[in-house]
Amino acid sequence: MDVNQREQRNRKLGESFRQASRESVVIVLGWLVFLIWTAAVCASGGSETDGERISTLMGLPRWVVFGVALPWLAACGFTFLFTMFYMKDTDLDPDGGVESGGPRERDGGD
Amino acid sequence: MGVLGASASGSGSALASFLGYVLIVFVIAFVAGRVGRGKPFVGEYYLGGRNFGMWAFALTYAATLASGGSFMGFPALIYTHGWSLAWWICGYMVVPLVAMGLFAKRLNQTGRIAGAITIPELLRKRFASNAVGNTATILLLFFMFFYLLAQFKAGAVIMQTLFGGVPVYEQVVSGVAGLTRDIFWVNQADPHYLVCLGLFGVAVVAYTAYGGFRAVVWTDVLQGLVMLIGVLILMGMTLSLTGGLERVTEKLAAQTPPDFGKAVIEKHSESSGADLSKWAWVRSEDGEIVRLADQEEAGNPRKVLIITSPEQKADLAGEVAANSNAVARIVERTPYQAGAGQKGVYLSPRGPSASSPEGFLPVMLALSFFAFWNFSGAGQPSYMVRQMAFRDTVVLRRSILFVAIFFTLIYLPLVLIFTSARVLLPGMEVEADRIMPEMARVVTEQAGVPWLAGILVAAPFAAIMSSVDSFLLLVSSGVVRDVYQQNARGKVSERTVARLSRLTTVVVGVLAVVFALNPPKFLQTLIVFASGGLGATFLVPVVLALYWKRMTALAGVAGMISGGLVMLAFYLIGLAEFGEFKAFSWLDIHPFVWASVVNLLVVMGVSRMGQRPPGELIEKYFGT
Repeated sequence: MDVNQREQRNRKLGESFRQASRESVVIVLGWLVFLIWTAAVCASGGSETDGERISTLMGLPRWVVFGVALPWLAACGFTFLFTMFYMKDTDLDPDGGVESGGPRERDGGD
Repeated sequence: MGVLGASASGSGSALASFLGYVLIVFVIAFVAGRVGRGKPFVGEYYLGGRNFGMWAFALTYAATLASGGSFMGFPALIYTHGWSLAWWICGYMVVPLVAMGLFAKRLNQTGRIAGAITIPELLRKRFASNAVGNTATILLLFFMFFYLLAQFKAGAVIMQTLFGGVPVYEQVVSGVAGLTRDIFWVNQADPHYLVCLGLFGVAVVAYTAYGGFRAVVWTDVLQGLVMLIGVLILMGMTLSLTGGLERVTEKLAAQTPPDFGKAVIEKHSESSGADLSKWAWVRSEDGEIVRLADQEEAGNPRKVLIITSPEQKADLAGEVAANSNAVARIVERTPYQAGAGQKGVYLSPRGPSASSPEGFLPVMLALSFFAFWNFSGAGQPSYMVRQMAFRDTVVLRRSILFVAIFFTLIYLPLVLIFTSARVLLPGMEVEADRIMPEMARVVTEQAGVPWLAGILVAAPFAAIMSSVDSFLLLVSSGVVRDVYQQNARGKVSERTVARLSRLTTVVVGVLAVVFALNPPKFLQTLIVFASGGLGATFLVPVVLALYWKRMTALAGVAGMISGGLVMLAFYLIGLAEFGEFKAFSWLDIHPFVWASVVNLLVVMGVSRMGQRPPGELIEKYFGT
């Protein structure tokens, strides 16, 4: 690998790394939003199921509809938007398929 | 026996359809083994040549993640605690995004750059440090073995449910009982369990050893589809049998948790035909309805479950009338600590609990489970290794979406099915782990299609098989790739590695079967300990190894050890506190969260204190 090829390889790998980092931040933020949504609705849902006073919607307890089913559908929607429009394709093999799948000598070392 | 009863026997037609399914699994594994011939052995045997498309990658990921627990332990929890399990499990709505999207791209890329086949190998090469690789290998082998034991046991238990009562099987059992009577360790196991464990072990070890990762992935595809179809069919039949969701919720709202207790059972006369076996329904002297929860032992009061809901008592009147020659005298009675006598508790987000006055799911515990499912799942080496096997990022993007839909269609219907089971099959708290096969049996018999029970029971069996084969291969790869090849002097021939890999898979499988002959009572707790331990050990070091240039080899070693030790410490505190091997949840937060936080602080602190990693390693794995 000459100097130019090496620079090109490192530049592409660096960009791929930065994009993957940005995607990870969005994923963690998404996780946090759904955590807060489900917790806020479910934690306050106990009073609806006190004794005989059962508040239901479509045959389900209301807290299940608004605190689990609805965010679950929204999470599927978010996953669709994220994977189809935000997540970028990248070259997974910047070194061109040179890998030691077979038997090899010792490596590593402290 | 009607809908309200429970039986231990299987049907011939269910057994035939189940065996047909197992045969198909073998054919697939055989073909996969043939396809892999002529390719470089190690990359093919342990990673399928890193060339899997969407169906293979998505379904192997989903099937491995949905282990036996999803179809045995989870239904039992839903049955026992009601709709609160919807909150408990709802973290799965973002599991595909978090567990796959968070670092699959970087993991796959780094694995290719390093030429790594296993997670310890990836860490070893990323830091150019044998200490990191060896620490990872030791911790991985330690925690994974508990997993294997538990899954082997679950597989054998399901087979027992299916085969029970089939004449050929009973003959084999009595033959094996005679042969093993004098063999140390083996003779302590129940002969039924012994036969099923042997059959399950031979089947899974054979196809995994022969076909390697490709066979595991291809069979996972079938097993994933069986799970999905099985759950959807079961949901349709359950709703049809119960009269719809509205009706189930209405009945569930009227239910109150049963009491546990002890009772002396008496017959009206010695000659009468009273049923005093486990599961039998009996009326008490004061008009209560109880279910016998253990086998009869002369002179001792029996464990019983006491029904408290008036509606359930009315439904059970027929069952009790059929056993009118027996009467129970209740001598001890223990109500639930949360929810006793409270209508609507099975529809509440906290759920009833026999052991905790806070209910089954306090808020902080629910929050930590939302973190646990996502990040512990992401931190399991068996799932990480799959993220090194997909072909390109198009496959990854489509697979994340596919698995998100797959989990939606599995987990929400499971909650629906097994809350309905409370209405169809009262009193299953006696042995709630049996609810899945019992539901399959009851709904198919009621619908006039008993043969379908075999396919429905194949769903949890498929989940267990797909987990066992993956764990088996992971342990084998740890031994061959990370221990033998790493320490062998000079080059090792491909043929030697091939033979050794297959031999190791068989030896690990046989060892797991031997230990699973007499599994410890707290095995289910050990599964949670092992999965939490793996997550707490590997998640933080792997994520930071992929995303943080400043992380050092020493920090990796310190992080993995501290994560594993903190997890162990919480269980040891639990042992001292509760007298059994059980997690101590400080502030109602799962120990996995605490262990991961400590792991993170240790990795960051040790990295900051040490020298910067060599520039060539940063350039190799991060570019510029």
